Amino acid sequence: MGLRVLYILSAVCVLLGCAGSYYQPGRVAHGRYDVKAGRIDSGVQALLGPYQQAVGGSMEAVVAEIAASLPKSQPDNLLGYFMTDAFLVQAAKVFGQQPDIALMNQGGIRINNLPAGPLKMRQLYELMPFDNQLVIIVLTGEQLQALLNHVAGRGGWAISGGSYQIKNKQAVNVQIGKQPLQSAARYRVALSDYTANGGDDCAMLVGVPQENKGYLQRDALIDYVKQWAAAGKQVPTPAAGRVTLLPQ
Amino acid sequence: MNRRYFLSQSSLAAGTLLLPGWALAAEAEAEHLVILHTNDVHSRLDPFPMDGSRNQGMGGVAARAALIEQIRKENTHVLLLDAGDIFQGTPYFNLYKGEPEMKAMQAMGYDACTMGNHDFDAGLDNFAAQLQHVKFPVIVSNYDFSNTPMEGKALPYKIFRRGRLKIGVLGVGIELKGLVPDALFGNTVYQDPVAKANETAYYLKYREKCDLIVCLSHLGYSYREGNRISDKSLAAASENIDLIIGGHTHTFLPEPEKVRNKKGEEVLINQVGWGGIVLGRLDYIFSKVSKKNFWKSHGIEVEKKTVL
Repeated sequence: MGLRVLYILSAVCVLLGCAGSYYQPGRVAHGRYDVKAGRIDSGVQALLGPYQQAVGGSMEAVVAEIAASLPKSQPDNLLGYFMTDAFLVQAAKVFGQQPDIALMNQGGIRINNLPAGPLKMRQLYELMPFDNQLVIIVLTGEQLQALLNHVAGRGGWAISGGSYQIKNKQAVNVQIGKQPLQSAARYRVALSDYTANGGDDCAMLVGVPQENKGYLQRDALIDYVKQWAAAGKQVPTPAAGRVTLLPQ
Repeated sequence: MNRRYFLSQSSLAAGTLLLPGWALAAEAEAEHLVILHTNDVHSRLDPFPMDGSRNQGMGGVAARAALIEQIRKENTHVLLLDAGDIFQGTPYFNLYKGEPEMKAMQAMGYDACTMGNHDFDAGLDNFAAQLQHVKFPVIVSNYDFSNTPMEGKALPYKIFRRGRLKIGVLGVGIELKGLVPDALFGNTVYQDPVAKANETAYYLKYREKCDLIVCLSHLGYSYREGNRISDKSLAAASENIDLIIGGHTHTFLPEPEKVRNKKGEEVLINQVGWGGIVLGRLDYIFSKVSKKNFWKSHGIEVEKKTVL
């Protein structure tokens, strides 16, 4: 009897492979589903409901009108120039002194395009979701050149108040205002605390004193576009060509 | 979709109804595992807005949940995984710090996730707190969270049993210094992802005798700088890992990429963009092997797109 049970058990074990069974993957098929409108899960939709309502109310408000589509690209970057223009204008107001330039790290631009037409609050949150603060640092021309070389090596970042070209991963023909960069001069640079604290491998900025008024970059964008709206104007399209690539 | 359906689909796609002999002979002993995966969803709970942009109408957790539910109905053995950057990117995160993202993932039945750099964005204490909404583990093998709010809240690996299969899942996170503000990662210690992945995979293979070893990675698919660690360089330097499910670089791979590892064996890498626009799927067919052959290296045949 006992033996019989043991026999049945081991037979079951062999069938189910519960002991000493080894498997190897021999073949793999692959596919990808485009997740798109169609059947939705009502349970998950319901779970989202209360959050959706709260987010939808404040975020769907139209705050301004975009004159022409602002695409993100690199190095010449209309979306980035729009952002740095906003930082330059707002930093002058918030810090009480005009910065020479503003810079925007490419990785911090989180959508691919702001289409022409009504601009919703939600889009500004999606463009700049991080709670990064706008800070001012003062750099010598030499330090600024080193920063721009680093930036050029990463493909180039948007600038306002100046221009540069990229050749062999270096920044060349750097213009601040309408003047060539002077290595002994001192420049006020508006950028994010993320970058100023060494983000995107900007180790050369660590330890450089920062002026910080606790002003979010996103709030700078919001305040900037609202001023255009209040003036009854569309948000203007920045001129292209501030950052360009030279043949190697 | 049952196994038979899957096999006939694949043979149709291959342009023939003749299945390879071994597949027919082994079918009784074969196991079929479906791996579903996402990465860099970035708080995209709603579909992309209808504003004329490239991704309009795509994504959304309610549509993804329905898709996953359907696949679960058609398949017995499913693993649902995410490769990090769950957080940050829409006002949901600004207002709720990840709570609805986590609740939605729990409702979809995720089995595991790893951590991306943006999952640190509202602080490690916030990430740790949001874990109250989920039952699945966070798997990271190369962050030492001692003396951080995440201490004891992440696993270096987890073994999943699906039918007769044992699937080992490990995870690797990206270097935080220079990417995540120091204050946000605090005392987290980043350890060499290659060393940690290999050490963990060795354990999963030789001690636990896992039939498949999956690495969730937030290292990024590939970089121009040759010496920067990525999924491609990890794969090449790895041993005992079968599959790397990647993230961070938002790469839409049209098909999984094969890379030869340190032992000359094939490792697959897959990544499905970002924003929950795409749900990735890999269907593995396992055959039973002798204990002796289990340790021998083996190739993997990647079929044409067949499962959809």
